[in-house]
Amino acid sequence: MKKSLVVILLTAAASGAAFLGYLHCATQGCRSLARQPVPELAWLKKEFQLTDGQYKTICERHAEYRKDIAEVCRDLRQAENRLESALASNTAFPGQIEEAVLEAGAARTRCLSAMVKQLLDVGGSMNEEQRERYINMMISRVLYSKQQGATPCGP
Amino acid sequence: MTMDDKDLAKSLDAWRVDDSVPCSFQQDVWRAIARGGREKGGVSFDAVQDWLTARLSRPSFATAAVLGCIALSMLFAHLQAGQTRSRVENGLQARYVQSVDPFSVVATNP
Repeated sequence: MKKSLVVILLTAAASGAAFLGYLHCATQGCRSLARQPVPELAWLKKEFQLTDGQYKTICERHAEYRKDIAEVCRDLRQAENRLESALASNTAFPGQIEEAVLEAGAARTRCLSAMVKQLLDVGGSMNEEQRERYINMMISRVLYSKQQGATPCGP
Repeated sequence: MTMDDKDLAKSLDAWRVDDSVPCSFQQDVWRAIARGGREKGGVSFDAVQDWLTARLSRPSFATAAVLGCIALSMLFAHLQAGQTRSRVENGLQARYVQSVDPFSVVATNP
């Protein structure tokens, strides 16, 4: 009885240790990915097996893009707010509403252009095979999902 | 009463049982009653315990049990790790897409 209890405890301890040890080793890669300064770019490097040179170029372009896009996003937000106000106001003239619509449309176009340019820039830093996969992934995740969901400015 | 009945009565009076009840008779009865109760309730904990104790006392069975449990736990860990990896990678992919997508920036910071 005592001997079998020892065997059972030993089995439980060994199984627990094996489970935790295996889990720790098998998830080490993704944990180190999540600890990177910019985890999403570290993921891109891993996913597309980028070289250090490609990764550096992409990181620089991404940082520039984030700065530029902040300004474009601000313009888009302002244009959408103006359009919303014009639609909500009973005193707005049809001409004012039309102007706000055109302004919001132009801001959206600028956003989309900036994003497409960024996608092409990042793709341009990759080799042929990586670029094709990257562009396809981004089309399905960004452009195509917008057509499907038809909610370009949020849920 | 006929003559045959008298003979039968005499024979019965003369009949003595010499067999004695074994010492463990009472204990055996109680054990049998307990066994009967267990059988009615299906497989009992005691039965499992007895079976396990008997098996685990054999080194070959004990070794196989330990190794089997370790292998099983590693299989579970493998499945769990796959799920974790996929969850983290999907999360990072979504984060990357969000960082590139100006519309999501506008949506998340209205």
